[in-house]
Amino acid sequence: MWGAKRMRIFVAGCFVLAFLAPAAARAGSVFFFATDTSSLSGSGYIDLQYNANAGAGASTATITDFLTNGSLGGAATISLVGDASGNLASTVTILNGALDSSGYNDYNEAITFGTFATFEVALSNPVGGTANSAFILSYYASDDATPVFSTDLTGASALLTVEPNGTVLVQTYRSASGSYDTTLGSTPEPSSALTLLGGLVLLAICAARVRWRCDR
Amino acid sequence: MGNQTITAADTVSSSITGTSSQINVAPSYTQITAFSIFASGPSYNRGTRLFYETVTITNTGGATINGPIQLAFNGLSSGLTLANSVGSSLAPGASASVMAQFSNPSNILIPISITAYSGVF
Repeated sequence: MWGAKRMRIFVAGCFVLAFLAPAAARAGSVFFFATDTSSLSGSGYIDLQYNANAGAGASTATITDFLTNGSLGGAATISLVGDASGNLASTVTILNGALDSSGYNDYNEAITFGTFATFEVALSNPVGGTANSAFILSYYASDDATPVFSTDLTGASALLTVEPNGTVLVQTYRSASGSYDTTLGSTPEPSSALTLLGGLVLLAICAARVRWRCDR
Repeated sequence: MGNQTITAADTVSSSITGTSSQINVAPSYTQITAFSIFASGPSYNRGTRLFYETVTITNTGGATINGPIQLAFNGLSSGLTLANSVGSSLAPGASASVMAQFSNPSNILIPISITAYSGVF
């Protein structure tokens, strides 16, 4: 039979297992970007970057499921710099440049603003390395030089810092109106989700065991 | 720094001149050893054509670091220049951030190797 102390340790262990899912978002998660573009009309540019500091591990950003009720400018308006390829209408891939020492990796395309623009970004875990990388979303006015939806020096609406251990820190920036026009959400990578699910199942078993012992 | 003399001249009437005795000018800064650095990753602004990076320094020692705090970026190669660097006093465990601006026309990887100083150069 289990003693009271042993039971407490078992229950505490179950709680630890239940909350093993990381508190911070991690590379491998999918990040959902949503921008309220209703304050602008006409055309501008959407700009996506994935840049490493020297010493960062190689990592890839894959952008999919772009959706807007405006319209993209199309192939003729796409500008690629460094390790960026593809097009937003299907899939854009941007490497952080760690493999070929490219410090600026940029996808830029014209956009006619509707009321929203959304897309998903999957960031792969950095391979080795000791320095950070940053994935950046910016929007620019029709001159492709004046940031919109941001008053930050970077011109960014949102910035994800990817740490060497895969932790991803999320930062969004205010627009001139003071509002945060870009919001982010993330879904955990499958392994984290399974860990959380496993922990919750164990927690349920624990609760059932305690209830059973109390009832006896 | 070191031993210096100061010479002054009256530029109006040229009637007054003088030279100080030798004075020793000592550095008014010290290198900080107990600190950690976090850099957000570089972001390029198409308007300013500069790269920006938020650099956060944390005092990992047991004593307050007196400001101003200067961050020196080591290993910046030719063509890569730092446009600003500032800081303030930091209590133990406290952090302060500065937006570093880089001109990087060759789009090379920016090295984040930093030496920190307390005081004025």
